[in-house]
Amino acid sequence: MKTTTSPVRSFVVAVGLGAALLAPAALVACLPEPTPPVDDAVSGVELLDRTQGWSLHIAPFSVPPGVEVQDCYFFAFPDLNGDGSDVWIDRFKMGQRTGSHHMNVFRVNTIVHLSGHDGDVVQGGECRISTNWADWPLVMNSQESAPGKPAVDWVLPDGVAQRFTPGELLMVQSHYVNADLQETPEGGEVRVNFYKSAVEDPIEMGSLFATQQSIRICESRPQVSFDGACAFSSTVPGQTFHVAAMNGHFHSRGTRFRMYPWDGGLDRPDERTQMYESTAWDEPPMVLGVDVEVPENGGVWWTCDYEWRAPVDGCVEVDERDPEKAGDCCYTFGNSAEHSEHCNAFVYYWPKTADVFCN
Amino acid sequence: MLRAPSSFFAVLALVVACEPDPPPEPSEGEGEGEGEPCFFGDPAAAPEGELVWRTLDGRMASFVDGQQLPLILPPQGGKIVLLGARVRNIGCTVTLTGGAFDDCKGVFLGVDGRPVQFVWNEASGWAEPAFPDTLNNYGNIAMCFNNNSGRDTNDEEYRFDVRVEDVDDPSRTLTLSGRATPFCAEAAFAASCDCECDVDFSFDKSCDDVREDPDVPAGTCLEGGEGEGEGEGE
Repeated sequence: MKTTTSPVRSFVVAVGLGAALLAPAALVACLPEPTPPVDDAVSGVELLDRTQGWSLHIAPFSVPPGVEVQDCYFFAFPDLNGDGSDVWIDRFKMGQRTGSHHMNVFRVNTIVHLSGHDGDVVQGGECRISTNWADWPLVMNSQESAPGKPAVDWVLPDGVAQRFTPGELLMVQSHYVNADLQETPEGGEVRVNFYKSAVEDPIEMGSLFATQQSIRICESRPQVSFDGACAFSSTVPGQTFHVAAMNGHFHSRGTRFRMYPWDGGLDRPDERTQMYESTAWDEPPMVLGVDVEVPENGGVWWTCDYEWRAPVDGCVEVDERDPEKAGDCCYTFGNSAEHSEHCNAFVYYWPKTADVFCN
Repeated sequence: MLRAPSSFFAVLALVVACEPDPPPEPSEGEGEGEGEPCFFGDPAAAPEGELVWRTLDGRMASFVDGQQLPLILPPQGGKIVLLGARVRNIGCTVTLTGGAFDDCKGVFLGVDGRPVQFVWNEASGWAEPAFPDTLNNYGNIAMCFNNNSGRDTNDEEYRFDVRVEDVDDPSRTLTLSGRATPFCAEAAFAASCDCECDVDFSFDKSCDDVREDPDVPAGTCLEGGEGEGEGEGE
C-alpha cells in the first residue's frame, strides 16, 4: 500500500482565539498523543467469501482530539465471478465507528489532482478538494455512526442492482471529526459489504450527487435557504425514473434538509410532495426502501435551510475562509465541519441513465 | 401585503409627485434592526427589474437579449453561467431563483435558488447585488456537465429565467426572462468545456474520444425533443 500524506494531513481545529492565530505546525506539536484505536470496533458487518460478495475494510486509525481526518482510499473491485465478467450487487451493508462525519464511495473517473492504485491512500490534501471527484459517479454513502446504532443494511429494490467491472477502481472517502461539534472517542474504522445479486438480468441503479457550493450563512442574515434542482435525462419518450434511497448532508448550521420530486419548472414544489427531511446535521437519516416516481423529464429538487450560530472558537477562522472577506462571520462551502458548510444531496434511482451530476 | 408605515407612503407620494425619475430609495438597509423592513423604492408600486450578468473579470453588466454568456468553471466543477437581477420596489434581500429552459424537452435543465442582498446604486437608479464580483450574488445556472439537454449547452441559444422574490413579502415577486448563447469562455478549460457541454456527453465516455457535431442547424433538438422551437414548459 502506498500512502501519500499531504503537508497538513488533517484539519486542525483551533480552540480559542489565541490558538487560531498560531501556525498549524505549532498546533500539531501541542496536541496530545492520540489514543491508539482498539481493534475492529465495527460490529454487524460480517466477512463475506467470494461466493457471497466482497468485504471492504479500512483498518482502524487514529483521530486525535481537535482534528478532522479526511482520507481517500483506493480499491480495485475484485473478480468475484472468477472469469472477468461484470458483477451485480443488490445489497450493501455499511458500518463505521462512532464519529464519522461522512463516508462516500465513488467510481474513479477523470483524474485531476487526486489518484491512486489499488491499496493506496491519500491522506488529506487533494482528498479535500471536491473538484478532484467532480465527475466520479457515486456508488453509495453513509453518515450514520451513532453509538449502538446498527450498520446500515441497504437492500436495493427487487430486480435492481449496481454493476461493477473487475478491476474497476473505487475511491472510499472517509471523514472523521473529533472536535467541538462532533466526537470520535475510539478512532476511525470503516467496513462495507457488497453482496452479489442472484438476479440474472437486473435493472441497473444510478446515482445523483448534487452539491450547492456557492453558499453563505452570515451573522447579519442568520436564516437563509438555498435550493437546487436537476433532471434525469432520457432519450426514451415516456421514460420515468424511480427514487429508491436518499440522504442529505450539511454541517451544524443546517437546520432542515428537504428533497422533493421536481417537475422541471421554476416553482418550488408543493410541501405535500416532500420525500426527504433531515433536521439532524450530525446523524442525518438515510431513507431506504422507497419508490418515488418523478415526473417525466423532471428530477429532484432539494433545499437546505440554515441558521447562523457563533463559531465555538470565534469568527477569525470562519472569516479567513470567506472568499469575499466580508467580515460578517460568513460560513462558506468547505470540508471543515467546524468552520464551513455543505449542502449536498445523495439520491439513488432506477433505471440508470447517464449518471446525473448537478452543480 | 404592504409593510411600510402609512407616514412613509405619504412622504413617498409627495416625492413621487415632484420628481419624474423613479422614487428615491431609502438609504441602504434602512429599517434593518429597527423593526421596519428594509426596502428600495415605492412599496405601492409593482416590483421592477432587469437581468444582469457577471463578466469573466468579475464585473456586473446589463443583459442584452440575444447576447453571449460566458461559461465558467465554478468551485463545484462543471460549467455555469452567472445571471442575476437589479431591481426596485422590493425588499433589500430576495430569493433569486434561476434556470436555463430546454426548448426541446420543455423543462428547465436545473434550478438554482439563493438569497441575494441588494444595495442602492444612485448612478444606475437600481438596487444591485451587494457583492457584484462574487459568484453567489447571481444565479449559478448549471449548463455543463450536459446530462439532460436535447442540444449542446454551448454555442446554442437558450432562454434563461430569473425569479426575484422578496424574502420578507413573498407576494412581491418578479420574473425576468431573456435569451442568450452560452460559450466556453475560459481558454484554460476550452477543451473540457466543449466536451462537457456536448449533447453526447456521458460520464461513461472519455472526453478524449472524438466527437463529431452533427450537420444540423442551430436549435435542432437531437435528443428527447420533437424538433425545433419552444417547448411548453411552465
